[in-house]
Amino acid sequence: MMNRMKHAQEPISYGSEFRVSIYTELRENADGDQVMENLLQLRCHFTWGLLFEKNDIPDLEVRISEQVQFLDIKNSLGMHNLQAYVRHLKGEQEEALQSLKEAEALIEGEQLGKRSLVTWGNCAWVHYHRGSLAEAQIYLDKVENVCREFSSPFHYRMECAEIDCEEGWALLKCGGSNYMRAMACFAKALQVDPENPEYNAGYAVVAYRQDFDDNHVSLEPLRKAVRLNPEDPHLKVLLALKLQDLGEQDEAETHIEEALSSTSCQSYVFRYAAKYFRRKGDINEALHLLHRALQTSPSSGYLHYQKGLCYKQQMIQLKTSGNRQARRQENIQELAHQAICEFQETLNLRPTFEMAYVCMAEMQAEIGQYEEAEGNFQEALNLNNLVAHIEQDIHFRYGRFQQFHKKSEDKAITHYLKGLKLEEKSFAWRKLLTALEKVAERRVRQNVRLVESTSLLGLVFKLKGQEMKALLYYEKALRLSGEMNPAF
Amino acid sequence: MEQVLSPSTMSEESRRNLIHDSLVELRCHFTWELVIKDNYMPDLEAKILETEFLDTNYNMGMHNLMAYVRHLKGEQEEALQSLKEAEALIEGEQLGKRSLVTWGNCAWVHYHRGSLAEAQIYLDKVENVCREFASPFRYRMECAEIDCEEGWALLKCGGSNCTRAMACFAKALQEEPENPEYNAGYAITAFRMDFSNEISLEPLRKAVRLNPEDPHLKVLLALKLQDLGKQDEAEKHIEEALPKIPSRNNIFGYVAKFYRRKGCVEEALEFLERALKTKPSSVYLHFQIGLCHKSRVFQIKEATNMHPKGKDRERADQSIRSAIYYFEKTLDLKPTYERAYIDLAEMYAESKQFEEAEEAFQKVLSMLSNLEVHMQQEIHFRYGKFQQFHMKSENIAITHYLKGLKIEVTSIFRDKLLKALQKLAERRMQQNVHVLESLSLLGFVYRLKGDTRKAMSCYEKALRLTEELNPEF
Repeated sequence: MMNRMKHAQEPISYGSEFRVSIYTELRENADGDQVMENLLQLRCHFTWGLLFEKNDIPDLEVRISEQVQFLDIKNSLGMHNLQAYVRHLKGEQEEALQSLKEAEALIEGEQLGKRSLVTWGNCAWVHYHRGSLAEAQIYLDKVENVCREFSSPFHYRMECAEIDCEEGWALLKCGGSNYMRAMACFAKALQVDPENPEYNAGYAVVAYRQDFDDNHVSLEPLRKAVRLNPEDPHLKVLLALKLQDLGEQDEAETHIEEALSSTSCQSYVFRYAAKYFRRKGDINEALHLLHRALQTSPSSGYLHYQKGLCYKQQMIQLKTSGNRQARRQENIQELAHQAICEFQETLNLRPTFEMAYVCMAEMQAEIGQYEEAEGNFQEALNLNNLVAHIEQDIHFRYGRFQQFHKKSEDKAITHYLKGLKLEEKSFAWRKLLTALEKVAERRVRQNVRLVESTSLLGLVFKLKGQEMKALLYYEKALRLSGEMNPAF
Repeated sequence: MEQVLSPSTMSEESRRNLIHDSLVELRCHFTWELVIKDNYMPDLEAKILETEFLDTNYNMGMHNLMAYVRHLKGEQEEALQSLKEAEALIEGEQLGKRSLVTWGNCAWVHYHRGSLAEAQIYLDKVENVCREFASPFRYRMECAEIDCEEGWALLKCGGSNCTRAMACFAKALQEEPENPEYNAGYAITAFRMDFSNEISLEPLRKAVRLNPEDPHLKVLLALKLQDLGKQDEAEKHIEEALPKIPSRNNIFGYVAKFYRRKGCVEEALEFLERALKTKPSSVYLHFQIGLCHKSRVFQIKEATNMHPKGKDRERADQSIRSAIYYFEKTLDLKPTYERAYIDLAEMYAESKQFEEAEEAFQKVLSMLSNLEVHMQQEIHFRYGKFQQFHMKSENIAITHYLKGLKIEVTSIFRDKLLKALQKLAERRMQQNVHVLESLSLLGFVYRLKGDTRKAMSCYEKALRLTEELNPEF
């Protein structure tokens, strides 16, 4: 069983060891406890409750180094700090210190003001964990001085938009389980400074990541962020993708062309532009961009995933083209295999990438490898910390696998129902509802398991909010059960 | 061969047509579409005759209605006689617009008996009054007075006419909201239609305030207050009304009902026996006497913890026999009096004559489609109770509670049906009897009560019990 890693547990797990150390070295418990109390007041990575699995750490490290290397200038300080925290979690205290030194070097070169507090907070924690209470205290004092300078009502805690923003970026980097809190952080910062380019960029990116239902919450934030950050091609690509979702092809194309013509953040632009072109149907262009991006980021799980999606889409296009020639059949097999390889590589790099399991399973199903497909669907379903709409999508796609490949409608129905019980009204939830409705309607027409099928239709109407219709279907199902008084 | 019409024949035919076109414009009983079923005609005639004793300001309306009824029976000369009596009242008072109803009816009757000249005379009278009041129509007067007359006529004919009666009085009240007569009509109609104890209390209060000398309204208000559990206030109105009731008035039937429901069966019987002396053929009075004896049966049972013995047993049995006698008598007088069948059946059930009880219930069930929906609900409820508690046949009881509930109008008996079905379902669930069906019935009850969440929950639980659903449902 995978253990979920959350920093709040760290002091407890290390407490006894460090107490012994403290006693040995300083022969005082009181100082250590007091330092811990102060550390907990700090706002930095150690106190932000970042949620991710131990399995996620290698991929997270890759993404941090990519961002430091390729996202020009943006948030290097934050990434060095996050890297320090990750190294600490891996038990690499000296390496953690090294990352913090690099962060401090950036501080010295610029007037970062309040943002320095995050680095100094992390320094205090790292020194504390390596037993250097004196060093920890030095950094605590630095923080306290800045807090006093800015008239903070707290000794070691600064309430300000800048640190809200830093927290937002850290949460955003650590995966889907953190997005909601990241959004709240950026929203809070925006209350202080509504036209701030960086806060708007952060808010827009999180909104985009969270945009999985009909509300399209990210469109206006992205427009605003692009307006305030006209030189940022990363934001332009995200806006283009959102416009593509909405069918605004021309405007989307404009933003893509502008983004590609920029020399900033090229690696990031390539990966998102590739997605754009794939969805546009221009898969060769997408693959070209992905190949270029992979040359500089060969360890990116995300890039391999996108490449897999390209092969998947090509395979599906071939399959639905209707041409039954043997050579095409070979091509289908070849493309499926290529897709599977890419998804496998994705999972090697990032074992908790749930949609990669699903996509790999779907490709295996297409070439008749049902056992392997089943195994991968089960892997996906058994992952911890699945976000609701993703879990819904997994149930939907596994349900379809059971319905159309395994010809097991009962299992399909089971999973459509499991997915629907996760009550978030997302795209996936609606697809589950439609799938359940279709299979139930057909079974009613074919007189298959009439009581169950009629009941399922009632449930569908209930979930659509049509309660009276739902009740009437339930009553019809009850009548069909043969257990009711005839006058019912 | 072509038949050549004589000029006089053509003239006669076209004259009839012209007069008919005028007649349909009139506002009177012939144009009010009074719904009177054939088998109700004798009762209606008797009711109108009873009205002769009412202490009412105007008997004219009743004479007119009697004329119409006689016309329907084909008794044209008798119809004319009633209209003469109505006209006699007109001559004695300044009735203004109300005369138009009588004259309209006169025109129609003369038309039907072939006296076109006489019909035209009355049409001319109507036209003159319409012109006098600057009516925009030649023969039609839109005014509160005639709305009120129409309301009274509809109310007297009863049944499905009551809804329209209510609308007529309401329309008149829009013109004169404080008119005593319009308020009385509205209140009485509301009382008649108050199947859920919701609509008639305030209209009755207002009507009593505006007609302080009218004992009839006071008695109706008392009955409504009694329905609503306000016994003391009800008592006050009864005591005020009693000295004012003319000795030969049929309001005593209502007074008796009040005392019976209060539990004073002896007083009720006194009033009824006295009233019966003046109206020995009254269906209503016989029925009320039967109800008194029925009430006494239940009083005895309650006093003896549901198990009367010895003398109490004898008294109860005697009361049952008396009740049965009077209900049978009621049905002899009026075989379509559906309510009496139910009470008769319930008395047979009390004396354990279940076959006779079933027969009486079946008789009234066979009349169901002719009855008002509220009455249908009541019949299903009471038959359901009979099957549930006397025949120990819960399935039949459920069938009838469900049939009663399929009738969707709001009423006291709908509430009773819901409670009965809910109690039955809940008890069977506790006893683990027919749990699936009971859960479904409970869900049905919640649905009808408007609690869709609970209804949904019950239905889903029941469906899971079918064991035919996907386990994930």
